[in-house]
Amino acid sequence: MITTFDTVPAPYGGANFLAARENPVKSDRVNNIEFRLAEHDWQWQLNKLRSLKYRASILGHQGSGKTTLLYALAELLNRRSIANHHVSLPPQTTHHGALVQHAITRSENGAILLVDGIERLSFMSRWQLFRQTRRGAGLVVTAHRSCSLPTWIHCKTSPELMVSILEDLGLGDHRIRIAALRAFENSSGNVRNALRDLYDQFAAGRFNDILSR
Amino acid sequence: MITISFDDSTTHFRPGETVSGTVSWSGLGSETDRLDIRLLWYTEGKGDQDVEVVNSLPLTVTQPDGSTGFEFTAPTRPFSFSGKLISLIWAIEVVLFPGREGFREPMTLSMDGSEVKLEKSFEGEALKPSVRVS
Repeated sequence: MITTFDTVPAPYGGANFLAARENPVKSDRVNNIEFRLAEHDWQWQLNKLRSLKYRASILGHQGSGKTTLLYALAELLNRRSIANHHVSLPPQTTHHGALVQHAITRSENGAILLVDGIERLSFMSRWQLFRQTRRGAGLVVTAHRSCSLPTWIHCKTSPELMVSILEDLGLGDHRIRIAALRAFENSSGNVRNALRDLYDQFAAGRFNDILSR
Repeated sequence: MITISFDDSTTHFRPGETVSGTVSWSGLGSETDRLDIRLLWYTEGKGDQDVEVVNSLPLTVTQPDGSTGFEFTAPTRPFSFSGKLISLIWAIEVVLFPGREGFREPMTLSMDGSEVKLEKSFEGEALKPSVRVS
């Protein structure tokens, strides 16, 4: 059996495309979008996290801002000189053992563990992580559903949030807004996927007239 | 404040040519003790970013204001290019330490002085695996 490669057309054609470096929804711009708290301020939320002894979960569906929030938390802790260790679990591997073991060692040395994507761990690895960090500085995880840790913040999206993100990206035009909100609706409230869809529309040159104004 | 300028305002280079210019700084905080001048490429677009530093010149900073020249040899690859999904951009970057604040000035590396445009015949065709029984 031989695997060959056939060419298939890209989803968007046309010679009038927008270069990736000029796309206003390119990933480095999207990655710089700050997390927006739906309620209370950061100090209040940090006090809440402290009262939970830094053992808590961040809940939310895909593309709701959990990872963005975890990065924001790391920055807040860094600014307060609170040791922390960020663990991003790759989605397509089952070999997380070394990452977990290293994280546990960091926890034993006084760092709060910030684990992104706890559901990617096997049951045994999760159990090991929860159990062996009980006496550590803390464990904050992101998850789609509630786990054995109390909820710190439940991330939710809304059309208003989408509009506010567009404004951050300098995309206030009515036509772009409508396209983005449609993408938001089609992706069931997944902001990340909606922005990817918007990227494709920009790349296809759909908004070149607006950008050239 | 950091300013990066190329000699003769040239920002298009061919492989093997000399990339030279001046880095000037003013009003640097006392915590800044060194800076790195780097020749690098990075990607921008839809997915994760890639960065590769090809060459660098470390420099000790002793004054809040100053300037220095830099000189690199333009590498043979990869060429600057842009498609819908990804752009590869060459740049001179200055990074201040210990804060790691960075400043970039883009440039182009190619044979004809302009970036390669990935039209539909290249990037517009994705590879899709299929199976053939032989």
